[in-house]
Amino acid sequence: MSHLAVSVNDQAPNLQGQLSQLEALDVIGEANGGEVIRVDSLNEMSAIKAPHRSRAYVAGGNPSGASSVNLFVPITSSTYPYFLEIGPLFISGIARLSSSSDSGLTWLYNSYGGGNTRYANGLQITGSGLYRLSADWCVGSLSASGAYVDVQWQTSTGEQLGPIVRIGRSDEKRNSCVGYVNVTTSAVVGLYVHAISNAKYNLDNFNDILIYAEKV
Amino acid sequence: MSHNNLKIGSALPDASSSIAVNIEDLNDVSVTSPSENQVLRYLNGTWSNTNLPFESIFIGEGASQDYSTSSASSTSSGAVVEFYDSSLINTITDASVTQTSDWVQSITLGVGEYVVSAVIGLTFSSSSGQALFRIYQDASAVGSQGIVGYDSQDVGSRAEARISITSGTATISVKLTSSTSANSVASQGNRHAERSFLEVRRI
Repeated sequence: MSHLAVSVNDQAPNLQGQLSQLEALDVIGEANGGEVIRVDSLNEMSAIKAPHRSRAYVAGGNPSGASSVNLFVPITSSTYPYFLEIGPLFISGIARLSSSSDSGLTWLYNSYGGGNTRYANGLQITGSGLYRLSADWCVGSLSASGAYVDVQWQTSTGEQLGPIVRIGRSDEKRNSCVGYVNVTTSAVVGLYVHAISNAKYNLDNFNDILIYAEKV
Repeated sequence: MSHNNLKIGSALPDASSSIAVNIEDLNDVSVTSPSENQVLRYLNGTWSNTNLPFESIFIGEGASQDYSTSSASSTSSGAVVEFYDSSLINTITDASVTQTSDWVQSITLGVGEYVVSAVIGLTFSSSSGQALFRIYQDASAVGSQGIVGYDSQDVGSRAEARISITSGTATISVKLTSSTSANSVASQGNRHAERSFLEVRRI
């Protein structure tokens, strides 16, 4: 048999035995600049833009006056009584903090007033993987100077996920709280409160809040 | 010449002399048990399947551990700061962590672009005590400096650096660049392990 009878990916060589540039059979489509080749759920490979990573946030939104209340922990009526109430998703049915959820990431909240007031206090993670957690937060501006809360990312089962961080007023030192959680099947994470000193929560400094979770 | 002698990468002809070439048949591609959402990445001369190209190292679980259990010998200017984690996270495939008894002294990184962040929580004998610290790439300080002070609210200022390694490897560490009234290693207590972290993200 002559070598000219050979075909490669259904392409026969020309009379000089040359083949034009081949395309791999198990890669679908053409790549554009900056794209990567990814394995999909059917175990096929194709070129796509940067792969999606699940992420969720709670962030500053719609202030509601300058009144304040003392921070208190534990919240005995909460499923996770030692997790900080990050802020109100709703107060009396009015959205106060913007938030987003994503596949496998769902914000948990304590409900008051028949469910019309909801304070986010944790994140439900479903699906295995490594997640990066960060919290930029501050105690209320009506707190006394030097007021603070010590928090740490933890799972609901008490696994410590990062350093303890002292968070003060927004006009004092701003410290971020970082953690990583390696999830096998599912987990609930939140900001475990270690200590509170003169810290108040008030409703006019929502713009100082950003809680962010991302699958990495 | 028999068609049986023809081979493209690892792909052989079938009985009708057709050769089906998949991407994993190429000599510089190594695909092993691909799973959903993995991608092909070029590293050390080979394309291989790997998880999403966001890799990180995180050291700093927040455990209560006395700094005296580290191998640090000093809290003076120039001293290397160690970080505690009994189950550190490391998904940077070609990185290695140098540690003793769960105290990390340095990280060795391969070719790539990185962002490194560090917070330290050393303690002081005076309310005016403080220390400055920076990230070191081998023997050179890089990026911005962080500061730590007496009160726990003075823990949290970060040293941060963007590091580009174009060939070989680099050793990353954190060193004190100034130190005033810092307690000795033996008298540091738990605060540093409870409140410090070292994070490396490949970008």
